[in-house]
Amino acid sequence: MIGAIARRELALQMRDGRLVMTGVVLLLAVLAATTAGWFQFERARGEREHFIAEARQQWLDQGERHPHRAAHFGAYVAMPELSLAMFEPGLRPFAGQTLWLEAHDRPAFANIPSEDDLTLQTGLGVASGSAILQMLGGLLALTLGALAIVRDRESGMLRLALAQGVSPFAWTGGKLLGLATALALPLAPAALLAVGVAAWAAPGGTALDIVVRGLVLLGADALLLLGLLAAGVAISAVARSSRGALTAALGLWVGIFVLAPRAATTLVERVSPAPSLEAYQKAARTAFDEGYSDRPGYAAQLKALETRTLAEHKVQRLEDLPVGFSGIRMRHMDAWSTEVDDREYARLVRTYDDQSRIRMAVSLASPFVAARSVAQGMAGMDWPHHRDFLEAAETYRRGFGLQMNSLIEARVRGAGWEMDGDGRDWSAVAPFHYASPSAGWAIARQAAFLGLLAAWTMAALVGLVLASRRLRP
Amino acid sequence: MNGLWRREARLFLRAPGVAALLLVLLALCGLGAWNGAQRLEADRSRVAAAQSEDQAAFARKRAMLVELEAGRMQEGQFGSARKAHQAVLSAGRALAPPDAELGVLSAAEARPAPDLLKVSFLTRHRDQQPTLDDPSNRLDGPFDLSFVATWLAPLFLLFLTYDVLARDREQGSAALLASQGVSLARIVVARLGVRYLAVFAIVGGVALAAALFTEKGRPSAPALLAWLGGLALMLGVWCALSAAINARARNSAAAALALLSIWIASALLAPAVISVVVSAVAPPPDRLSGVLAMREIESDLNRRRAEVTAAYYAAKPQNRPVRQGDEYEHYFVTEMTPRTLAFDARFAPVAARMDAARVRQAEALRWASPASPSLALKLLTEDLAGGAPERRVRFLADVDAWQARWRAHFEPKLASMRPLTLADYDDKPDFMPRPEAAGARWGRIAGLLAALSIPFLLALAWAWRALRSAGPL
Repeated sequence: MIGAIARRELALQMRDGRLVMTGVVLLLAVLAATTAGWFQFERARGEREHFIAEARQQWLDQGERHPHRAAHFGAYVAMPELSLAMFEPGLRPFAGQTLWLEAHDRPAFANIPSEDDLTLQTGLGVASGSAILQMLGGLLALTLGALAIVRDRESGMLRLALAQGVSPFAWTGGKLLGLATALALPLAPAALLAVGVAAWAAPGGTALDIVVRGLVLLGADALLLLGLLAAGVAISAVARSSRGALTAALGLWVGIFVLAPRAATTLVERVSPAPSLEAYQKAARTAFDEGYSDRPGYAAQLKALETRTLAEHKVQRLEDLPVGFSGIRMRHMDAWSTEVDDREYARLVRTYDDQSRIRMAVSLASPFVAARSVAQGMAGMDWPHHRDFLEAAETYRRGFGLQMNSLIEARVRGAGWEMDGDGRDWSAVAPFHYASPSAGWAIARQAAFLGLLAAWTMAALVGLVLASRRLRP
Repeated sequence: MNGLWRREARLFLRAPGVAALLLVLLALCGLGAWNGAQRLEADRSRVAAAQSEDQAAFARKRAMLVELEAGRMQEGQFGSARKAHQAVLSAGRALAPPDAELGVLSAAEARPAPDLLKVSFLTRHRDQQPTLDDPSNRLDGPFDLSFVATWLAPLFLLFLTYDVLARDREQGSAALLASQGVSLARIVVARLGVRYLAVFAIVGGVALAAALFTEKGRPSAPALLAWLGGLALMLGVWCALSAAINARARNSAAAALALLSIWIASALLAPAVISVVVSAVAPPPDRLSGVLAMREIESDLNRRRAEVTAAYYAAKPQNRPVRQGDEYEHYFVTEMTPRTLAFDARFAPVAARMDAARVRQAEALRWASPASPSLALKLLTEDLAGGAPERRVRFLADVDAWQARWRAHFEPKLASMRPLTLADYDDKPDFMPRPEAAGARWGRIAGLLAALSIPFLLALAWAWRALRSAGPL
């Protein structure tokens, strides 16, 4: 019975020119946005590769200078993107493009595109294929669902069907299935095509990873749209008029897609704000200078280091040391600042985790927040991917800092400081290489959001079952 | 006529759900205003704290110099108030632009004009300020009055107006209404007028109250009037569209869908399309190229550092060092000081080109804004809240002029290693930011109001034509 009702609903929708036209418009919008995303992705890739190559060359060609000043001149790195970013650019406009790796300080993302490009601040974020699929597809699902049963009620069709012994459950189930199929007909090919293009554009060896990520992304979108469709049909089942059903559905759309994401941001900023870079560095500097727990501050540590080094080399003055004390001092300074920084960073990570939990709580009310997070994660454009890159860059920074300090240690004698490194020293620093994490890693980071999305969709389906029990002609 | 408006107002306020909807809008406006006020307060506190810290630091150095000159203190190797390279070279002064008139309207994180710059003798051209914040928090933007007025207020107005006549047709009461001696057009205008005034009074009232509160009762009247004018025009567009659609629609669901489609096209899709076109016509400043140019100049000056130093002292023989400094003075005074000046001379045109690109992009956006009333109001709001790139250019020009005076004041002592005196501290130049030229500023505002007037007049003409022929069936 459900199959027959679904087939009838599908046929009715196909005959209704409005759905076909809306579907075609949506399909074209998704494809147009993905095509624009393709050009942006390719342009960004070209610019990034040029930047990385130039920045490396500038490191090699910086001329003779003190290794510590070379460490302050530092290296620039930029995060590579997966090809799915053409469909879901995620945080690209709002995350910094580059990391400057220099002496002493943990790098932070800088050069945020939206601070330079006013066009990135103009809309409600519907410029990508993924956003159009979620936001406008969601609107279509809700409105289609909201009008599905109430129109039958207004036209008397529902009374006729129920009088002929059709069960309310079969009627609502058939409607849902028919509409889901009608919705999938224009959207699924467009989405699959976008993922296919992304897999085709992926560098060799990563195509399978992109396909897995793409299928999870589309699965999350499908869950979102199914949940919204079910919510719409449930509204339709209990609404007295199409006017009321439509008002409720539109109100729900505004709440889920427009209000909830900003409410989540406001909550995050009020409940668990991240410190500014200035505050973070001030806290780290204070811990560095004053120490903590049983660890003394830097001045006391330096004094102990001097005593230890003099005793080790059996000399009375730093000037008489057979090695460069400045290098030893810099090495110790970096080791201590690394320890302090790890402690501060652990606090920062706890703040990020708290913020993520707040977003999960909002996802209970807005499946869009969860679906968008999953899409960004699968495209490699979410905050966990950015943080993974950040941490890899920090490991690299610490390594090349050590290399610079070793040069001072080896080439300066006693208490001296001035010396110059040259091109051979700079080329001994290996270039930074980064491989994006696997699909499994990305899925694990988004598992909670996926679970919440599935729970929301299940709740909407249960709501539909309950509404169908109250179905009256 | 007045009786008709009074009756419609009574009916409107008694309609089920209306009071709740208006209360929700009021609450959302209140939340937006609160967020804007919090952000403004935080910015002002940050600027005040930085300026007070900066003044205290210079006062401490001056007090130290008094002690040194009186012979009550011994000069150490570091941190001397007498040596310009230690006291002044990298001592950043906290510089802030003049307050924007309506800063409370926007809580945007990414503003083209910085709220606070710390500028010293050294170059101000650095990376954009890195941030530790999770960029997901910037993805949706803040929940402020700019968001409520631009995106939510039109939606509320559409909810309230989509069935002003269509519902009567649907219920069969339109013919009765038309037989009451008042034309349907007048009734529709009265109904729309009442709803328009309710939404305008709530959004405009909250904005007015917020501006009065944050500006201590003295907000800029022209700025407020301009913004309220923009809000009135933008809401007027949606009222006129509602009138035009209702004049034709046979049922409220069709009217709602038609209006929602126009909202999606105008508020969601048009800004996205405009962004793509404007980015192509007026691309944003290329930040990565800027970083590469910065490093290229820095590397080149490092490689030629002996030549740069020699050229500097040849050009300014009066600044030749009066004594042989230690290795730090050799680096900071004779190398870094000439290099800093040479760097700025070469990088300033690059920075100016980047700022010009920002301004060109903003101008292109303003030209395109008549296509989207929401975009036009957003640009107007952000401008009045201090977010126009032209304000940044004005501020940075003031900063550069001040830095030139600051350098002229300290450079002779710094480059020659002559000791600083109390007069050097007492006569140091102060930063006095100038507001933007009124003509250019109000020209922009008038342009945006004109941009809002175009869709308003078009929608009004359509509504007038449609209402003239509107009948009960």
